[in-house]
Amino acid sequence: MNSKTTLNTHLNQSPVLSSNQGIEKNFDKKDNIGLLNANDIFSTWWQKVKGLGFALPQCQDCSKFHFYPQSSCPHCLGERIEPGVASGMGEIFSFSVVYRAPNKKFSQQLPYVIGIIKTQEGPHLMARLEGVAPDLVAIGMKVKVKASDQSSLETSTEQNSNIDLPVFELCETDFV
Amino acid sequence: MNISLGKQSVIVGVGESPLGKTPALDALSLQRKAANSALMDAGLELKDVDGLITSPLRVTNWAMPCAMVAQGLGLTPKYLMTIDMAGATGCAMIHQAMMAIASGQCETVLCVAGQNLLSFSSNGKAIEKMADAGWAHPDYEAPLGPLVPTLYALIAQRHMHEFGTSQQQMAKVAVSIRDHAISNPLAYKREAISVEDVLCSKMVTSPLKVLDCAIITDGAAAFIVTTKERARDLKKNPVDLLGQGYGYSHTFIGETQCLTTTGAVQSGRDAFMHAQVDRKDINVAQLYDCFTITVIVELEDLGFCGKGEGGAYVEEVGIGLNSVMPVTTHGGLLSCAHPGTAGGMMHVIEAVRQLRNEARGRQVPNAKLALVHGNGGIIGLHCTLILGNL
Repeated sequence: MNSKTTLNTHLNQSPVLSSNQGIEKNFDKKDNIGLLNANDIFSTWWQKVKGLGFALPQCQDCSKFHFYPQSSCPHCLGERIEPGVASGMGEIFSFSVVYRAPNKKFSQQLPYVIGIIKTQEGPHLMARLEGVAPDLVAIGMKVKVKASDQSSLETSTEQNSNIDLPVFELCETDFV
Repeated sequence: MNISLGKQSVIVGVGESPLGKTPALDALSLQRKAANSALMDAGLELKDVDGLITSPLRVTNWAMPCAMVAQGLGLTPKYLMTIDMAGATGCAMIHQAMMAIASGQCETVLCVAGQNLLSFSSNGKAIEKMADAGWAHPDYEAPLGPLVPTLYALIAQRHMHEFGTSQQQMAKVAVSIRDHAISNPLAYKREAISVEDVLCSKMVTSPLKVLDCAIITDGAAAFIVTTKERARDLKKNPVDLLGQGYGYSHTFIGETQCLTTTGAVQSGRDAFMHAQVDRKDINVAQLYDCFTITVIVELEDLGFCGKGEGGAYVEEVGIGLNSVMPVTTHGGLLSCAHPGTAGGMMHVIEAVRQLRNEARGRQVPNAKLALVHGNGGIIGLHCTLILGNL
């Protein structure tokens, strides 16, 4: 996937699958090791829920949350999926401090912390952890999502500054 | 129901292209060399091949890999198929070839894959491309900047947290497998390393260091599967498939609720059930070793030790050539070669060589039963084979 063109394309299009676009993206770089191109339908999740706070996909049939966004509920296969406002609270299930960037656009940010967050609602989600020293981060730490006006992908990829992805930070007090 | 495919067909030839850095050879050239090597090993020629199984490349997009390879080798097979189980492809190819033969569709199947993963650009470019290739979810994970090793580092970190697995134990995996590579003239990395070297190698994505990670190389691998009847005239002892199993748990590491128990539990259970042998009967295990932690998790999930005991197993029982069950004796992905799906095929090739007593300086004495395990994606997709020379 060519992150820049693919992600920017998503912003400018309606969330409808376009097979033509998929094919073009597939071949726009001849040395692409592509296994999977960005999913045109659901890549806009965080755009879609902007303004709702921290919302995860929630099945209207079984009420369970899931992540990442899918066209049917992974628990009951229900197809009525809507944003469900979630607490934004969770804990670090695992993490890695990255010292070697996959490409130039990330190298200025090194080292950075990527975590798997176990959300209070259940689903796991991969996210950047901010405001914690790389040598202090630990599994089990309580975290909360940063307010959406403070968090965006610009913290992680300068070339896609207009896409929001949730960023988590340490939570000062524990929650039940 | 247990239909033994191994009653009808056997592995009769294995081979590989030159491995490592081969800038003069493109994917098809590498695959042709591997195919010729396997055919020569079997005592067969291309004209004897009437079935073809291959796997997609990562360096370029072939619309129809099996058609591209058929054309590149000048074949017009009666059966052809492209399969992609990522790192589990090599194991799955053997089973798929035997099913094609068992159904009467063809008699002699060439399984071949490989590419110039290192030389098509550079090591750094390959790392960059792999990070963006779909192993991390393209929308929800890749934009965060994980390397492929980061995705496995998340597993390693959790394993350390849950079970007390140490970086020293992971380092021991790298050292043992490097020792095996030193005994394999075909391996790309053959300088001796110590636990200290691994621990002091550059941190890539904590807790994984450079020497915890697979290398990136060029290369192709091939094997020939044919009927037992046809095998009687061939020059080498055939190798039987006694059991196989598949397993799946997740596609993206971010979604899974459990990072430390994998689909290898199911693939291993099925393989042992079909083969009707015990774990203690396995003489040599070719375990997929994309990262050191992978081997530790596989030892547990395949039932060679209890859950969480993989690190201690490596330290106390050991996986070297003098241990009760040497692991990944050709040097694996960590030290021999990793050109993509062909990397996992080389574990099958090594099992065949061990069972034929052809592994020379790294031969496991009296090897009669070998387990091969392939792991695809971020430890989500699995195929296990039990091979025998009984």
